[in-house]
Amino acid sequence: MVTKTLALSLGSISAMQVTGYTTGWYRDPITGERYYYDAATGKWYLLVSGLLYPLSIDYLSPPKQLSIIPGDRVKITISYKYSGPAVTGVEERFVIGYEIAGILQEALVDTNTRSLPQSSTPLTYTGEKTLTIPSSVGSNWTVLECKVSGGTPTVPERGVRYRGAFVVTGLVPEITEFTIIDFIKV
Amino acid sequence: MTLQVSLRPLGLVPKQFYPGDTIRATVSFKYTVAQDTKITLQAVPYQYKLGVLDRVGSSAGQKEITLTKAMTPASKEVSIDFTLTNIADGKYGLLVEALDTGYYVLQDNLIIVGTGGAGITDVLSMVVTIIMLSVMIPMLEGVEKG
Repeated sequence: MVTKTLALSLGSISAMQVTGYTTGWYRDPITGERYYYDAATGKWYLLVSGLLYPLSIDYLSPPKQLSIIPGDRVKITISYKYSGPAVTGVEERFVIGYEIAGILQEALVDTNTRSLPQSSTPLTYTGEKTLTIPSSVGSNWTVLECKVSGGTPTVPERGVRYRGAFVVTGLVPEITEFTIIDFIKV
Repeated sequence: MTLQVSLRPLGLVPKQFYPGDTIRATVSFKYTVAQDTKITLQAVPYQYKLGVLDRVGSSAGQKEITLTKAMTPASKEVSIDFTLTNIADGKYGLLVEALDTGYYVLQDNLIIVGTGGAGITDVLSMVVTIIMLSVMIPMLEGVEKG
Protein backbone atom coordinates (compact mmCIF):
# COMPACT_ATOMS: atom_id res chain seq x y z
CA MET A 1 0.00 0.00 0.00
CA VAL A 2 1.49 3.31 -1.11
CA THR A 3 0.82 6.76 0.31
CA LYS A 4 0.97 9.61 -2.19
CA THR A 5 0.88 13.23 -1.13
CA LEU A 6 -0.59 16.47 -2.41
CA ALA A 7 -0.01 19.84 -0.73
CA LEU A 8 -2.34 22.68 -1.72
CA SER A 9 -2.66 26.33 -0.77
CA LEU A 10 -6.13 27.87 -0.59
CA GLY A 11 -4.97 31.46 -0.06
CA SER A 12 -6.51 33.80 2.51
CA ILE A 13 -9.97 33.54 4.02
CA SER A 14 -11.94 35.78 6.34
CA ALA A 15 -15.14 35.57 8.33
CA MET A 16 -18.26 37.36 7.13
CA GLN A 17 -19.14 40.56 8.92
CA VAL A 18 -21.69 40.05 11.67
CA THR A 19 -23.77 42.70 9.95
CA GLY A 20 -23.51 40.57 6.77
CA TYR A 21 -25.93 39.94 3.99
CA THR A 22 -29.47 38.80 4.48
CA THR A 23 -31.37 36.54 2.12
CA GLY A 24 -32.36 38.44 -0.98
CA TRP A 25 -31.35 39.93 -4.29
CA TYR A 26 -28.27 42.07 -4.81
CA ARG A 27 -26.91 43.95 -7.82
CA ASP A 28 -23.26 44.54 -8.55
CA PRO A 29 -23.11 48.35 -9.01
CA ILE A 30 -20.23 48.09 -11.47
CA THR A 31 -21.22 45.17 -13.73
CA GLY A 32 -24.98 45.34 -13.19
CA GLU A 33 -25.08 41.54 -12.60
CA ARG A 34 -27.86 40.33 -10.32
CA TYR A 35 -27.06 37.89 -7.50
CA TYR A 36 -29.19 36.05 -5.01
CA TYR A 37 -27.90 35.34 -1.50
CA ASP A 38 -29.25 32.56 0.71
CA ALA A 39 -28.29 33.44 4.29
CA ALA A 40 -29.36 30.01 5.58
CA THR A 41 -26.70 28.23 3.54
CA GLY A 42 -24.33 31.15 3.01
CA LYS A 43 -24.36 30.55 -0.75
CA TRP A 44 -24.51 33.05 -3.61
CA TYR A 45 -26.30 32.44 -6.87
CA LEU A 46 -25.93 34.12 -10.26
CA LEU A 47 -29.02 34.90 -12.34
CA VAL A 48 -28.52 33.91 -15.99
CA SER A 49 -31.40 33.75 -18.48
CA GLY A 50 -33.93 33.44 -15.68
CA LEU A 51 -32.09 30.56 -13.98
CA LEU A 52 -30.08 30.62 -10.77
CA TYR A 53 -26.60 29.12 -10.92
CA PRO A 54 -24.60 28.56 -7.72
CA LEU A 55 -21.34 30.46 -7.65
CA SER A 56 -18.98 27.54 -7.40
CA ILE A 57 -15.28 26.99 -7.41
CA ASP A 58 -13.68 27.12 -10.85
CA TYR A 59 -11.60 24.26 -12.15
CA LEU A 60 -7.86 24.83 -12.14
CA SER A 61 -4.92 22.97 -13.61
CA PRO A 62 -3.50 20.57 -11.02
CA PRO A 63 -0.05 21.36 -9.61
CA LYS A 64 0.85 17.75 -10.31
CA GLN A 65 -0.88 14.63 -11.52
CA LEU A 66 -0.89 11.54 -9.32
CA SER A 67 -1.07 8.05 -10.72
CA ILE A 68 -3.29 6.00 -8.41
CA ILE A 69 -4.41 2.39 -8.15
CA PRO A 70 -6.90 0.68 -5.83
CA GLY A 71 -5.44 0.47 -2.34
CA ASP A 72 -3.32 3.60 -2.66
CA ARG A 73 -3.61 6.18 0.08
CA VAL A 74 -3.68 9.82 -0.98
CA LYS A 75 -2.53 12.22 1.70
CA ILE A 76 -3.84 15.73 1.02
CA THR A 77 -2.54 18.73 2.91
CA ILE A 78 -4.13 22.17 2.56
CA SER A 79 -2.96 25.48 3.91
CA TYR A 80 -4.74 28.82 4.19
CA LYS A 81 -4.45 32.09 6.04
CA TYR A 82 -7.08 33.56 8.32
CA SER A 83 -7.50 36.82 10.17
CA GLY A 84 -10.61 38.10 11.87
CA PRO A 85 -12.89 37.21 14.75
CA ALA A 86 -12.77 33.83 16.43
CA VAL A 87 -14.71 31.25 14.40
CA THR A 88 -15.96 27.87 15.55
CA GLY A 89 -17.08 24.91 13.43
CA VAL A 90 -15.11 25.72 10.27
CA GLU A 91 -15.20 22.75 7.92
CA GLU A 92 -12.22 21.61 5.86
CA ARG A 93 -13.55 19.35 3.12
CA PHE A 94 -11.49 16.93 0.99
CA VAL A 95 -13.16 15.35 -2.06
CA ILE A 96 -12.09 12.97 -4.82
CA GLY A 97 -14.71 12.59 -7.51
CA TYR A 98 -15.74 12.70 -11.10
CA GLU A 99 -17.88 14.84 -13.36
CA ILE A 100 -21.22 14.18 -14.96
CA ALA A 101 -22.28 16.89 -17.39
CA GLY A 102 -19.76 19.22 -15.77
CA ILE A 103 -21.15 18.70 -12.25
CA LEU A 104 -18.85 17.26 -9.62
CA GLN A 105 -19.97 13.91 -8.21
CA GLU A 106 -18.35 13.30 -4.84
CA ALA A 107 -16.99 9.76 -4.65
CA LEU A 108 -14.67 9.98 -1.63
CA VAL A 109 -15.25 12.62 1.03
CA ASP A 110 -13.64 13.36 4.38
CA THR A 111 -13.80 16.44 6.59
CA ASN A 112 -12.12 18.16 9.52
CA THR A 113 -13.95 20.56 11.80
CA ARG A 114 -11.91 23.13 13.65
CA SER A 115 -11.96 26.53 15.36
CA LEU A 116 -9.93 29.53 14.27
CA PRO A 117 -8.89 31.96 17.04
CA GLN A 118 -9.28 35.71 16.76
CA SER A 119 -6.36 37.36 15.01
CA SER A 120 -5.70 40.81 13.59
CA THR A 121 -2.92 39.51 11.32
CA PRO A 122 -3.22 36.62 8.86
CA LEU A 123 -2.14 33.35 10.47
CA THR A 124 -1.43 30.20 8.47
CA TYR A 125 -3.43 27.04 9.19
CA THR A 126 -2.99 23.60 7.71
CA GLY A 127 -5.42 20.71 7.41
CA GLU A 128 -4.71 17.15 6.40
CA LYS A 129 -6.61 14.01 5.41
CA THR A 130 -5.63 10.67 3.96
CA LEU A 131 -8.13 9.09 1.56
CA THR A 132 -7.84 5.41 0.61
CA ILE A 133 -8.65 4.55 -2.99
CA PRO A 134 -11.21 1.68 -2.95
CA SER A 135 -11.32 -1.26 -5.35
CA SER A 136 -14.49 0.24 -6.82
CA VAL A 137 -12.56 3.26 -8.10
CA GLY A 138 -13.60 4.31 -11.59
CA SER A 139 -11.22 5.40 -14.30
CA ASN A 140 -13.01 8.77 -14.27
CA TRP A 141 -12.14 9.59 -10.66
CA THR A 142 -9.80 12.37 -11.65
CA VAL A 143 -11.17 15.42 -9.83
CA LEU A 144 -9.85 16.72 -6.50
CA GLU A 145 -11.66 19.42 -4.53
CA CYS A 146 -10.53 20.93 -1.24
CA LYS A 147 -12.37 23.78 0.44
CA VAL A 148 -12.90 25.60 3.70
CA SER A 149 -16.31 26.96 4.66
CA GLY A 150 -18.99 27.34 7.28
CA GLY A 151 -18.58 27.98 11.00
CA THR A 152 -19.91 30.72 13.27
CA PRO A 153 -19.60 33.43 12.16
CA THR A 154 -19.64 32.01 8.68
CA VAL A 155 -16.48 31.76 6.63
CA PRO A 156 -17.34 32.06 2.93
CA GLU A 157 -16.48 29.03 0.84
CA ARG A 158 -12.91 29.12 -0.37
CA GLY A 159 -11.12 26.30 -2.13
CA VAL A 160 -9.57 24.76 -5.18
CA ARG A 161 -10.87 22.20 -7.67
CA TYR A 162 -8.53 20.35 -9.97
CA ARG A 163 -9.64 18.44 -13.06
CA GLY A 164 -7.13 15.74 -14.04
CA ALA A 165 -5.48 15.60 -10.62
CA PHE A 166 -5.38 11.80 -10.83
CA VAL A 167 -4.77 9.10 -13.40
CA VAL A 168 -6.32 5.79 -12.36
CA THR A 169 -4.23 2.88 -13.57
CA GLY A 170 -4.18 -0.88 -13.22
CA LEU A 171 -7.94 -1.38 -13.57
CA VAL A 172 -7.53 -3.43 -16.74
CA PRO A 173 -4.77 -6.00 -17.05
CA GLU A 174 -1.71 -5.30 -19.16
CA ILE A 175 -0.49 -8.40 -20.97
CA THR A 176 2.93 -9.03 -22.49
CA GLU A 177 4.74 -11.99 -24.06
CA PHE A 178 1.41 -13.51 -25.17
CA THR A 179 2.43 -16.79 -26.88
CA ILE A 180 0.76 -19.95 -28.16
CA ILE A 181 3.02 -22.61 -26.72
CA ASP A 182 1.17 -25.73 -27.91
CA PHE A 183 -1.98 -27.10 -29.47
CA ILE A 184 -2.98 -30.76 -29.40
CA LYS A 185 -5.96 -32.98 -30.08
CA VAL A 186 -7.66 -34.14 -26.89
CA MET B 1 35.29 -14.66 -24.59
CA THR B 2 32.21 -16.81 -25.06
CA LEU B 3 29.57 -15.93 -27.58
CA GLN B 4 26.16 -16.78 -26.19
CA VAL B 5 23.41 -17.45 -28.68
CA SER B 6 19.86 -18.25 -27.69
CA LEU B 7 17.50 -19.73 -30.21
CA ARG B 8 13.73 -19.83 -30.12
CA PRO B 9 11.35 -21.49 -32.54
CA LEU B 10 9.89 -19.24 -35.23
CA GLY B 11 6.46 -20.69 -34.66
CA LEU B 12 4.47 -23.84 -34.20
CA VAL B 13 4.32 -26.56 -36.81
CA PRO B 14 0.92 -27.07 -38.53
CA LYS B 15 -1.02 -30.16 -37.54
CA GLN B 16 -3.87 -32.05 -39.19
CA PHE B 17 -7.29 -32.36 -37.58
CA TYR B 18 -10.77 -33.41 -38.65
CA PRO B 19 -14.22 -31.89 -38.08
CA GLY B 20 -15.42 -32.97 -34.63
CA ASP B 21 -11.92 -33.00 -33.15
CA THR B 22 -11.40 -31.10 -29.92
CA ILE B 23 -8.19 -29.11 -29.80
CA ARG B 24 -6.52 -27.86 -26.63
CA ALA B 25 -4.58 -24.65 -27.20
CA THR B 26 -2.16 -23.64 -24.49
CA VAL B 27 -0.95 -20.08 -24.16
CA SER B 28 1.40 -18.31 -21.82
CA PHE B 29 1.70 -14.62 -21.00
CA LYS B 30 2.81 -12.16 -18.39
CA TYR B 31 0.45 -9.63 -16.85
CA THR B 32 0.09 -6.84 -14.34
CA VAL B 33 -3.18 -5.69 -12.78
CA ALA B 34 -4.02 -3.67 -9.67
CA GLN B 35 -6.77 -5.97 -8.39
CA ASP B 36 -8.11 -9.47 -8.95
CA THR B 37 -9.70 -9.38 -12.39
CA LYS B 38 -11.66 -11.93 -14.41
CA ILE B 39 -10.97 -12.16 -18.13
CA THR B 40 -12.20 -14.54 -20.82
CA LEU B 41 -9.78 -16.18 -23.23
CA GLN B 42 -11.12 -17.38 -26.57
CA ALA B 43 -9.43 -19.77 -28.96
CA VAL B 44 -10.80 -19.87 -32.48
CA PRO B 45 -9.67 -20.96 -35.93
CA TYR B 46 -9.66 -18.31 -38.65
CA GLN B 47 -9.03 -17.66 -42.29
CA TYR B 48 -8.50 -14.48 -44.26
CA LYS B 49 -11.35 -13.55 -46.59
CA LEU B 50 -10.65 -10.64 -48.90
CA GLY B 51 -7.78 -9.80 -46.58
CA VAL B 52 -9.98 -9.63 -43.48
CA LEU B 53 -9.52 -12.02 -40.55
CA ASP B 54 -12.66 -14.16 -40.41
CA ARG B 55 -13.19 -16.23 -37.25
CA VAL B 56 -14.95 -19.59 -37.49
CA GLY B 57 -17.28 -18.71 -34.64
CA SER B 58 -18.94 -22.13 -34.57
CA SER B 59 -15.59 -23.66 -33.58
CA ALA B 60 -14.63 -21.15 -30.89
CA GLY B 61 -13.91 -22.17 -27.31
CA GLN B 62 -13.80 -19.90 -24.28
CA LYS B 63 -12.40 -20.06 -20.77
CA GLU B 64 -12.86 -17.55 -17.95
CA ILE B 65 -9.86 -17.09 -15.68
CA THR B 66 -8.99 -14.85 -12.74
CA LEU B 67 -5.84 -12.81 -12.84
CA THR B 68 -4.80 -12.25 -9.25
CA LYS B 69 -3.45 -8.85 -8.29
CA ALA B 70 0.13 -8.44 -9.51
CA MET B 71 2.00 -5.15 -9.54
CA THR B 72 5.05 -6.75 -11.13
CA PRO B 73 4.73 -9.01 -14.21
CA ALA B 74 3.34 -12.41 -13.22
CA SER B 75 3.42 -15.45 -15.50
CA LYS B 76 0.29 -17.37 -16.43
CA GLU B 77 -0.31 -20.47 -18.52
CA VAL B 78 -3.81 -21.36 -19.67
CA SER B 79 -5.32 -24.10 -21.82
CA ILE B 80 -8.48 -23.52 -23.82
CA ASP B 81 -10.42 -26.32 -25.52
CA PHE B 82 -12.38 -25.83 -28.73
CA THR B 83 -14.13 -28.27 -31.04
CA LEU B 84 -14.00 -28.04 -34.81
CA THR B 85 -17.68 -27.64 -35.66
CA ASN B 86 -19.30 -26.65 -38.96
CA ILE B 87 -15.90 -26.15 -40.50
CA ALA B 88 -14.89 -26.98 -44.06
CA ASP B 89 -11.66 -28.63 -45.13
CA GLY B 90 -8.89 -26.10 -45.42
CA LYS B 91 -6.02 -24.40 -43.70
CA TYR B 92 -6.86 -22.22 -40.72
CA GLY B 93 -4.91 -19.98 -38.41
CA LEU B 94 -5.22 -20.20 -34.64
CA LEU B 95 -6.24 -17.06 -32.77
CA VAL B 96 -6.25 -16.82 -28.98
CA GLU B 97 -7.59 -13.54 -27.66
CA ALA B 98 -8.30 -12.05 -24.26
CA LEU B 99 -11.80 -10.73 -24.91
CA ASP B 100 -12.51 -7.04 -24.26
CA THR B 101 -8.87 -6.27 -23.61
CA GLY B 102 -7.40 -5.92 -27.10
CA TYR B 103 -4.70 -8.53 -26.41
CA TYR B 104 -4.32 -11.51 -28.77
CA VAL B 105 -1.86 -13.90 -30.30
CA LEU B 106 -2.25 -15.73 -33.61
CA GLN B 107 -0.44 -17.84 -36.17
CA ASP B 108 -1.60 -18.38 -39.75
CA ASN B 109 -2.18 -21.79 -41.36
CA LEU B 110 -1.64 -23.77 -38.18
CA ILE B 111 -4.69 -26.00 -38.31
CA ILE B 112 -5.17 -28.23 -41.34
CA VAL B 113 -8.72 -29.52 -41.40
CA GLY B 114 -9.29 -32.72 -43.35
CA THR B 115 -7.28 -32.66 -46.55
CA GLY B 116 -6.54 -29.03 -46.01
CA GLY B 117 -8.69 -28.15 -49.00
CA ALA B 118 -5.86 -29.65 -51.06
CA GLY B 119 -5.57 -28.10 -54.29
CA ILE B 120 -8.95 -27.18 -55.58
CA THR B 121 -9.24 -23.72 -54.07
CA ASP B 122 -5.49 -23.11 -54.30
CA VAL B 123 -5.33 -24.18 -57.93
CA LEU B 124 -8.42 -22.16 -58.76
CA SER B 125 -6.99 -19.02 -57.20
CA MET B 126 -3.70 -19.56 -59.05
CA VAL B 127 -5.52 -20.06 -62.36
CA VAL B 128 -7.59 -16.91 -61.80
CA THR B 129 -4.44 -14.94 -60.95
CA ILE B 130 -2.64 -16.14 -64.07
CA ILE B 131 -5.65 -15.30 -66.26
CA MET B 132 -5.89 -11.84 -64.70
CA LEU B 133 -2.20 -11.19 -65.28
CA SER B 134 -2.28 -12.48 -68.83
CA VAL B 135 -5.11 -10.06 -69.58
CA MET B 136 -3.72 -7.06 -67.74
CA ILE B 137 -0.08 -7.16 -68.87
CA PRO B 138 -0.85 -6.69 -72.61
CA MET B 139 -3.30 -3.93 -71.68
CA LEU B 140 -0.64 -2.11 -69.66
CA GLU B 141 1.91 -2.55 -72.46
CA GLY B 142 -0.61 -1.06 -74.88
CA VAL B 143 -1.10 1.95 -72.64
CA GLU B 144 2.66 2.56 -72.44
CA LYS B 145 3.11 2.29 -76.25
CA GLY B 146 0.12 4.51 -76.91
